[in-house]
Amino acid sequence: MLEGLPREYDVIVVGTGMVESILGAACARIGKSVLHIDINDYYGSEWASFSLDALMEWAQKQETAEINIDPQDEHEKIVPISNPKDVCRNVHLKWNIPETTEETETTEENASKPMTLDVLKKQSRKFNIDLTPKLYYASGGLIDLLVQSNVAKYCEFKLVSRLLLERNGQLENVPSSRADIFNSNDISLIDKRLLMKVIMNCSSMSIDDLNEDRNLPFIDYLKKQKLNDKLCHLILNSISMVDYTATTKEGFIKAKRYLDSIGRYGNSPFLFPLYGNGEMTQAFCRLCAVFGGIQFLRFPLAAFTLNSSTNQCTGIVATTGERFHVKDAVICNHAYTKSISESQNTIHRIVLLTNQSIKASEKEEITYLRLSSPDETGIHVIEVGYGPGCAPDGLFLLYLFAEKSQTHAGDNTDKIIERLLELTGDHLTRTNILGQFTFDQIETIGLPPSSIDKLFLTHGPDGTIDHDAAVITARNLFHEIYPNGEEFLARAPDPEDIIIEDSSNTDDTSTTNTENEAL
Amino acid sequence: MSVHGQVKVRTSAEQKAARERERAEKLHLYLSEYENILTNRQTADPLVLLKSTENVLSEHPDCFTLWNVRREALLKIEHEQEKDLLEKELSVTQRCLQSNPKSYSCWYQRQWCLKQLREKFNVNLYKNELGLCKKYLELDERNFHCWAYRYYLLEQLCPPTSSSDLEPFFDQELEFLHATIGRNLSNYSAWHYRSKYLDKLLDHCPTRRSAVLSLEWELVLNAVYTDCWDQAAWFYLRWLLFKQLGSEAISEDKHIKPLEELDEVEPRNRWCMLALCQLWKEKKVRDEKRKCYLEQLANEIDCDRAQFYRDQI
Repeated sequence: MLEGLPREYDVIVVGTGMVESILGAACARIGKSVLHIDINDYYGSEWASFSLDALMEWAQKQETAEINIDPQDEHEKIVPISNPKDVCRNVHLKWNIPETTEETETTEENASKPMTLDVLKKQSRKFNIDLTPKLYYASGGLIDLLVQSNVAKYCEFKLVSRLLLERNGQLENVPSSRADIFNSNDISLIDKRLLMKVIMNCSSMSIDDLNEDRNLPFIDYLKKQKLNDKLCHLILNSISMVDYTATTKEGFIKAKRYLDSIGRYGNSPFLFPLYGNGEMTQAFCRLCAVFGGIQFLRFPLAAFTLNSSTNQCTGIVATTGERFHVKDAVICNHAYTKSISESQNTIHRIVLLTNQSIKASEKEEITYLRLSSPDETGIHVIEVGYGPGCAPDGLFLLYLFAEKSQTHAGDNTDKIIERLLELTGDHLTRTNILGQFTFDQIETIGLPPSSIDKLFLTHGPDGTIDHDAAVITARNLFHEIYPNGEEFLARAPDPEDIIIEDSSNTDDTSTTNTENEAL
Repeated sequence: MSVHGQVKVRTSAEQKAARERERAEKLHLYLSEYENILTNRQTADPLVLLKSTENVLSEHPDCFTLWNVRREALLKIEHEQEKDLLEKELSVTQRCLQSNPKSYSCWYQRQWCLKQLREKFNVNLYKNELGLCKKYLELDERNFHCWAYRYYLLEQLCPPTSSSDLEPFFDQELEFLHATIGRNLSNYSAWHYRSKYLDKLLDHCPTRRSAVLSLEWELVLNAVYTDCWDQAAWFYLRWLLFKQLGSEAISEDKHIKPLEELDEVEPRNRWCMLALCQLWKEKKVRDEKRKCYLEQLANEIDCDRAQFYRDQI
């Protein structure tokens, strides 16, 4: 199956995670020949989205056999890959519903027939469950990149319509725009003024204007502006979305981005992709393909090849022994190398499948809630349903994860779920949780770069709500590989500006127009 | 790029040239059609004129002369066809409004059509028009053409003074305006029309005066506290205090004190300072401070209007 595949490339990208996909697209865009491979049969790596069946399959970890490839000559050194699936550990999928309906069920009870796994599986394709759920700031790094590069036309988004916070043991809406504050009945007139003042300052002041305040803890700065505890918590937790330990500078930058993002596409600062976050990696892979990159899933990858005297990576080798060479770089996720065993930090991810939203509403919502308190790190809660095409009608996916990774693999799943259920009260209880899916993602950000020349290691997701880290890494690595001022993901030309001149091949009638149409 | 045909992308110079060519063509077409219509203005069949002007206006809705031609044509047509054509005219203006929602000519034409149809008054027609207004206001809530048109429609739909429907009619409009302000408190048009309807309501139901004005005061105080730099709310506040409540009804506790508190939190806010100066004058209190503020406003804070402040000292 590898015959016919060219053997020489400028760049080989291993893994279809976010960083790899952006890089693959960027390299193809400047005319480099790219081979983009993944040993999985799906796009996205740890950033993928799955239907219900696919998720259940994924949850069953497969062990890969030991691969033995011999060097072909004395100049070559072989570095076998690790199983990239090792980056996700302790995968558990637990159902609170029966497998099938009992055969003795009478037909009159059809209306109140309890949900079973069978019924869910029949609707498997209506699910798009993210391994790494994230939100998109309307004025943030990734959205800007999508717009700038024109990759945005491969995806669709919906606004995160509902932003909640915890107040008085309940879930309430976050007032962040002037209209929200004006309409709120909970805030006194003076407090409205003080709150608006701080918000206006966050929007209009530059970081330099902060002077000595910038290193003050943000909570102290807010108290200095005469805000009461409730309002300090509102800004810290729901607008800046930082922990109580954050500095004013951090809090300011993030508050600014939040406020700048409101109004760009609607009354909320966040977008969520239709059909889940897995669509993003595919969108970049699509751009890579449009500019000539070759995408190859289920690639039988065995190892990297090195030149033993120069310690330079020369390419990859398949399990069949076929070798593929690179000129400029092999870009690869840390997960494929043995380095992940050095990282101890994990992000614990919880996905709950429910038949009730966390808060009642008249319409379809995409909800985001941030839980925090002075002595703990923030916990992100994202709820999606039928609206963005992530679950069948009437069912919801509830994602919960802590922002900062933990060093000890202690399982606090139940504690987090309890915390949420206390806030949802009677509206959402344990009986509404049909299924529970948890796993630990090893955090590979911050692992050292490779010591091998021309081998560039990328990283997986972190526990933040946004994609900043991935975009920054991709851009930095791109400029490292191509430091001669090449443009990073320049805008693709609009179709009406493309002039097709027929070259002198008058006998070649089978021109592949599909690539042009795809543009 | 590895494609079989040579793919070239237009440079920005080439793009510009292509655009220029397109524009020149469009201009040529427009001028020749325009000439054509004017030459045949008196002689051609009205229906033909309507057809040809429609084509031009859908792309160039702001051509006054062509609308005049249409009105002449419509007036020439016999009575039986008139009603249908006038209703069709409304859909023509709707298409034109899509290319320019702030076209004076289009809104005027709509109003003209309704006036022509007046003899055949149709409540549903007006209700549809209101619906259209709502849609355009959703697109741009500060489209003053649309606001003025809406006001005209409501005048037509207004129940007679004797009717018991009149009070709920005013209340309903005030609700709508309240919601609009709730979405964006800078909406000057919304505040402006609110003042008009409040006037009408209070004229009609004088017994509700103190209750209504009390709620209004809370609303506008909320607005100026939320955004003390937005002039729309301040203009309304001053109107409410001086034109509706009047000197007698202004209380130090209820009206002056909250503004003084705001002034403490937001010093040097020209709107707050001006409102306070005018209030203090009405109630003949804090004369020294008043004069001091007016000096500050004239000399430092709002020098462009220095004389305006000095005149009040």
